[in-house]
Amino acid sequence: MIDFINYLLNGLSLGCIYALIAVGYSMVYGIIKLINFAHGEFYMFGAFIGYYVLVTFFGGVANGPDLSFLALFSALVIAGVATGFLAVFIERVVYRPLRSAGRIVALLAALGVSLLMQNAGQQTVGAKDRTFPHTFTFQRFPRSEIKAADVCAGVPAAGDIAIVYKRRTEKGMQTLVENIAMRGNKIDERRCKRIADISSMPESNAVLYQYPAVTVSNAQGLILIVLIVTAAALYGIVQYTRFGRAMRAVSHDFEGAALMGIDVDRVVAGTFFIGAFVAGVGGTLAGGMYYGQVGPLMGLMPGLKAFVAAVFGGIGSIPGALLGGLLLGTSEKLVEAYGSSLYSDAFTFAILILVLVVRPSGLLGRPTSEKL
Amino acid sequence: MGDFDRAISFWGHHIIMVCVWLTLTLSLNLINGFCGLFSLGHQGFWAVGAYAAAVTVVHFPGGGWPALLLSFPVAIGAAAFFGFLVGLPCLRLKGDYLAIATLGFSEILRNLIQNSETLGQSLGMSFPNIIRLSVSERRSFYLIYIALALIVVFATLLILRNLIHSAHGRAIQAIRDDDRVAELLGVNLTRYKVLVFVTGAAFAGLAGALFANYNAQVTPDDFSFNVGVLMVVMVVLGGMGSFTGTIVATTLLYFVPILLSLWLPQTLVPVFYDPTQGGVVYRELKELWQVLFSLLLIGVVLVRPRGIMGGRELRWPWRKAVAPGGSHGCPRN
Amino acid sequence: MPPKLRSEPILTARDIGKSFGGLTAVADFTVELMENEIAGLIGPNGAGKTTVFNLLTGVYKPDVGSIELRGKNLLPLSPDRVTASGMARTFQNIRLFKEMTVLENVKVGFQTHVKSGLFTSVIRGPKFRSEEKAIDAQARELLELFGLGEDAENPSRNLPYGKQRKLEIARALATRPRVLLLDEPAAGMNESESAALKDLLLQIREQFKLSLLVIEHHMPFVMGLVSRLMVLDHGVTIAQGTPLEIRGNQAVIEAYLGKDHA
Repeated sequence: MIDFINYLLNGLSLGCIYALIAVGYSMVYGIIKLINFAHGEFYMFGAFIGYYVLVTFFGGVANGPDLSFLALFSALVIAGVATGFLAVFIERVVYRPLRSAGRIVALLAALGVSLLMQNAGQQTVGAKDRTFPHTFTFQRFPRSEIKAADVCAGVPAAGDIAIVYKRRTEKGMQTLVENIAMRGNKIDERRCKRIADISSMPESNAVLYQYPAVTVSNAQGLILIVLIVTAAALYGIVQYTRFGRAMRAVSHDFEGAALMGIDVDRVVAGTFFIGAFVAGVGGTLAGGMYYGQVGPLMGLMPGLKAFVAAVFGGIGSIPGALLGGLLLGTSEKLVEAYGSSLYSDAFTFAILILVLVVRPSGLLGRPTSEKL
Repeated sequence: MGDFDRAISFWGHHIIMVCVWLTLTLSLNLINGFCGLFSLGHQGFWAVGAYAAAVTVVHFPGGGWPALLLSFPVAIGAAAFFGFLVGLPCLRLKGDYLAIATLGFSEILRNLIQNSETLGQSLGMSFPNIIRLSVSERRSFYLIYIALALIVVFATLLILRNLIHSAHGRAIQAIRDDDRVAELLGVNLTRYKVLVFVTGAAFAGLAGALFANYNAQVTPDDFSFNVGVLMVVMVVLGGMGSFTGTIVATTLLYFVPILLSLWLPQTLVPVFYDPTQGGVVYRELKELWQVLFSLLLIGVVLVRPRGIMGGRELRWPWRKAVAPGGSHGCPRN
Repeated sequence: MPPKLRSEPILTARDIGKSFGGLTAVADFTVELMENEIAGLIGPNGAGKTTVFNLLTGVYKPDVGSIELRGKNLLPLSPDRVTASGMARTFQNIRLFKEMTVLENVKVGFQTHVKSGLFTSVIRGPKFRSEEKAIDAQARELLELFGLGEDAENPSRNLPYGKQRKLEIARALATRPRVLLLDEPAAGMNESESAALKDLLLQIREQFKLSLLVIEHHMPFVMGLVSRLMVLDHGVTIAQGTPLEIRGNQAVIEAYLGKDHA
């Protein structure tokens, strides 16, 4: 049961990432009925922008000292904005001229853009993965402080035990978390010595913690918070702003909205911006908080899976995309844990086909009917 | 190895490979272009055919020529069977939904192949090249395979063309133009859609058998999503519903990257500024062919969405390009 | 002199009803079409006339009721089987196969009578070739009948409007139906064109022994053509009878013009 909850929580984080990507797919599809296959690459682009912001402006280094929350926040915002502008540019140059050319052609153009971005990425930043600089130390909660004396009695640990301490390196002051023992392990002399060694290091401020069976890391918490904030912001925009109303009008009836005097081009551009912004933020979060690294091909699989999530939740529906992402990420991790990790990809696509054949409108989408 | 032999190896290889691709795109054109069903999963059928052929060659007792000969019908049959499996659930799907469903099937297939021990998992299957063993001379080896490849392409073209220029072909194209009306004129949608998938898949399987035997190796990466995208691009750029266009586009799109990487000078160009890589990043022009290629793709899609031939077909004997005998243009789904 | 009517109806639809999510499109629709009869279905826009056609041809399945063509139950049949049983139709918005030529459009109509299998088609066997020749000849004959002979090789989308309408009818005739449903065949035609169409319909009724059911708005066209009229309003048949009877019918006038005008 404990394991289940841990897998669930892990899956939830992955689900949040998928949700952040899926939202962009749904928004764009809802408005111009285009599957923007390049959206996964937007996520990748955002991750790299975030990476470069940290590296260039805040001196971030792989495995270096933690940067600040300000650094993280800046990275997220700049990544979002940059990705948003990229999306608007691509929409203007590639998708808008093809609006009347039929869905298949637009889909092909999207595939072309996706290929282009992957290749361009490989040629510019190089194919190797980069380690994302830390902006804060990952720590798990809840936790309770314990004394070294309680622990080194040769008793099996009642819960995971770790020591949190600071260390000065040539790169600056680093906060480190070192695992001492897992739940159930007996704490032997070697480990006790380790605790003593660390505690006696200068400026270490070492604290010993014990964790319950189920914990959540601050990184996971951050991802969730970002998702909630995003969801709330999107809800606010769509329901309460003029732009949101225009968005809804255009997604209901493209020509009709234009006839009503809505500047459709601006609405489409704005939708692309928002969707890409969220994906870019998602990329930076994923690179920093979940995977720990970024690479030019990182958008391929998550992009495809987020797309499945969007379809699952009901393509065109923002709450659907969020729900679909969460459900898909969670079930993917559960399948990996309880089934076979090898077949989790096949599982994801099997869900896609099931949805398409049984209920193409997804969980929250509206079934469309054809008028003869 | 003399210059002549080197030339034969190089061009022979590419002629054979372009024939494989032609078989794939011609059969994909049947599904996407003539019937208007947007399939993004054709590479999956190719994979099934290739692996089925590989398994036959490896496991057929005695090996040798009988195994090679048997691998062809086995590959075609296996691929056709999967064409049926995929086509059936996809009957009611249209446009984008069909595209992603077929993509999904193809990815599932690839995942299963990649995890199967019998199929060699990520490393794929490698086996002795039967014809290479029987024919020691390099020249003859290539000539045999070139002949085989050309026969395969011509057979594919002939059969598909005959199919299109018949009542069944008209039914298939009617489905593309307006499937509701086609049904009301007596066209059984289920029967024809499944037929189109099975036939298209069968020829993809044929291409797989040719590829597997010639290459003497199959790996899952040979059949990736990007490969499938390239196939679809070839069909669309050639003009859906035009066999001539498909042939032209496939040949062009196959050879342009190769020629680019051959002819582009090794000059270094600055492409990026990156402090983490030590400043300005240089790449050889040669290496950039992929980027140029994708740019080219987007450009062509933007400029001539109806395809290179504008959807027209060259008639046999080769008179002037005539406006449609039932062809072209992208279905507006 | 109208041909003698047989006693058995060729098409019988009884108490057909269809609702879409709470909205009743058609209710209690009944029609008995006699052999060689031309009947008309009229009513204001949105009355459900095209829905009736969709129900009859198997595009929608009725919630209640029965449909029989020459005694054969049509309810379990898919649209292509319904057409094979002998009922064809045309469409309100012309729906030709835009990417095909005029001749090819008509040829598709012969689909239900094609006997060549796949194999013989691909290898161009003798059975295939003789059948193709026959289809070609018959298709051209139909085109000649409709005055479209010269346009045979032209793309169908290049035809003028009136000819497109005729092509649709020719294509439907290729299925060799016993019953032909025509959805506003005279729409967009001027006086002389619709008069010519009327004559053409009477002619094909004779020549092909057809029964016709026509949806039409154009009253003069309908009056001179049909022997019987049914009036539909909001899915309900509000009147039935000869054209003369319908003309004076209060309920009909109200349905079309509103209660104040009656």
